[in-house]
Amino acid sequence: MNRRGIGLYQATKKIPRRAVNVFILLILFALPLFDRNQYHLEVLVSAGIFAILVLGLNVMTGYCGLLNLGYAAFFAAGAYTYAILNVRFGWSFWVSLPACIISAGAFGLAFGSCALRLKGDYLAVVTLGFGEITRIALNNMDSLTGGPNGLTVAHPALWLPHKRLAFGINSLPYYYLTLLAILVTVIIVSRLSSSRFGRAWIAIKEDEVAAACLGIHTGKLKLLAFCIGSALAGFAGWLFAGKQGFVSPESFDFITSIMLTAMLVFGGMGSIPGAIVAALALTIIPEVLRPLQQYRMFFFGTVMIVMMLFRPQGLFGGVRIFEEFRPESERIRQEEDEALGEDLRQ
Amino acid sequence: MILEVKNISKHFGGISALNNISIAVAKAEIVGLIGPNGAGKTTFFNCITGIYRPDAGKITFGEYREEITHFAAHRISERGIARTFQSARVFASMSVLENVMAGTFSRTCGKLWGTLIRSRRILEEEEAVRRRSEELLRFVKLNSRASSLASSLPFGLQRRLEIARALAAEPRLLLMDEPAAGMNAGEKQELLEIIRKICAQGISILIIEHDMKVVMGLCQRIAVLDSGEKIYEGSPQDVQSNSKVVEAYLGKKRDASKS
Ligand SMILES: Nc1ncnc2c1ncn2[C@@H]1O[C@H](COP(=O)(O)OP(=O)(O)OP(=O)(O)O)[C@@H](O)[C@H]1O
Ligand SMILES: [Mg+2]
Repeated sequence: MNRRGIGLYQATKKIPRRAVNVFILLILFALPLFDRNQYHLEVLVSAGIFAILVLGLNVMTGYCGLLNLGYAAFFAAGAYTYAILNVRFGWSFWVSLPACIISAGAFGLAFGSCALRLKGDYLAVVTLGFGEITRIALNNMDSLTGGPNGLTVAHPALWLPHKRLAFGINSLPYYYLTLLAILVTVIIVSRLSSSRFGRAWIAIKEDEVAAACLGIHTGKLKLLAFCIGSALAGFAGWLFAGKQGFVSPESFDFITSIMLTAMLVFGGMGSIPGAIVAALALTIIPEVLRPLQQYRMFFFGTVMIVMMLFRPQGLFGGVRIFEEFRPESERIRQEEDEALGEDLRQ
Repeated sequence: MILEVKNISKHFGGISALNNISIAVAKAEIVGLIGPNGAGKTTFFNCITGIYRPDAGKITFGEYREEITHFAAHRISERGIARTFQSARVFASMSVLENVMAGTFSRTCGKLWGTLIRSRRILEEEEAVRRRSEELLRFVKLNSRASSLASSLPFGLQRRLEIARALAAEPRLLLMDEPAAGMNAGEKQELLEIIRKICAQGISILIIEHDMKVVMGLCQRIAVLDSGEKIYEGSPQDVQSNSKVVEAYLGKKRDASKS
């Protein structure tokens, strides 16, 4: 293949793509300048936190194929870690971040090392049970978690040179914080996706036996995916707790887990833009349909069924292609197909 | 001898799929494994590669005759045994190039932290993996399809992709399970060439194949399995005149005096 051709193509192909990303980012950063409506920003922040969660779930389910119907438990681990550290030990929001990520990751590691002996639907059932157990435990460990009454935690604050800037209940600072958090998550997930780990995960999802025969330690890599997915949920939990200023078990129920899975499927397993768009769409649309609140689950069900019927691979269906090679290969491919056709005619 | 299999047996419930099979493969040798359907050939491969655990027997591999009988599949692959599957098992949702890149997993050592910060070492390794994979695709003449979805390839090309992917794991022994099945004459010819070239690189090959032309054209030695028993081992020239082998394939000759 013509090396220079590839280089040239890479150059022309990469710039627009990066430009598009930067453009979207600029719009998102500038958005509050045009729309200062607190309610709108609030909805966007919720959607953003969901986006981080879906991206994390995407690592374990989208890439590695590990169905997890109790993902909210790891979300809770992050949120409660901050809440408990803040309420009992007075840790500040920023200082708690590593602890939240680590505790959720460790939670995932501990649970995963037992549960990952199971596969497919069995794993889904066990994670579902685990999610519920976690919620019930949080509900009943009154002395630590405040039980059903939850815990009221401090909102974050920034110390600027001359004054202390408390985030309080103003949505604007959370909007930017969430945007930053999504950016970090996207960078992490996309780097993983295009690395040897990402390839190994997808190999495991596609065909575990073939993956093992290529020297991929499937058990270890599944655990890694599970652990990273959980850690990202912890990250989202930390953000959520700080923004709400309050955590209680009901934020981490079964419905949340199901909704996250629905978003993942809706956006397309293994797709980063898919995860974000789906989180936005499936958070904003129900808000728009607020008058029909009691039909929300019905709405989700319908969307999922329609999706399964007409686009089972999701909005941005999981296709991994190195764009760099396309035009050249397409031409050769056509020639090849024609030659093959001649072969058959003979 | 790079691979030595001694007296392995494998039962599935009442069926004895393999019974006391011994086969050895030397360095850069091509050994053929033939036999009628259900003879136990694939089961034999599965025992060597750690997918099944043999009930009895011993498998050693490498110059130092390390015993690998009960190793997990990924460790066996790390030692240097790669394989292709009877029903081409490519990673469908990945591109052709990525399939091959996935094969290099155990020969790369990029760490998680380096991946997240995009350290220079990771970038270099990734570039090397990509170059190597492209080279392997050229080797099996699939480079023009590098960006295609693996599942979009016709079956014959998927088999070639599997070969490239197996080679990416840098094996010293390659096990091929009916690589020519479903290929037309031209494709078979290309396959023969590829296999010879692999062998010329010093990689040993154990190949299951039904097509006698392929087997005769390649193998220095042939073993014949029938209902889990090894009924013949020797040169490809003699195999067709061996009465036991003919019997296994065509059934017993009716004794003229009895009828
Ligand atoms: N996992 C399994 N469980 C039960 N029986 C099995 C299993 N795998 C193989 N067998 C049996 O072992 C015997 C040998 O099967 P094997 O697939 O090894 O045959 P083969 O020689 O590869 O045949 P073919 O030419 O059709 O590929 C068959 O009778 C098969 O039914
Ligand atoms: Mg077979």
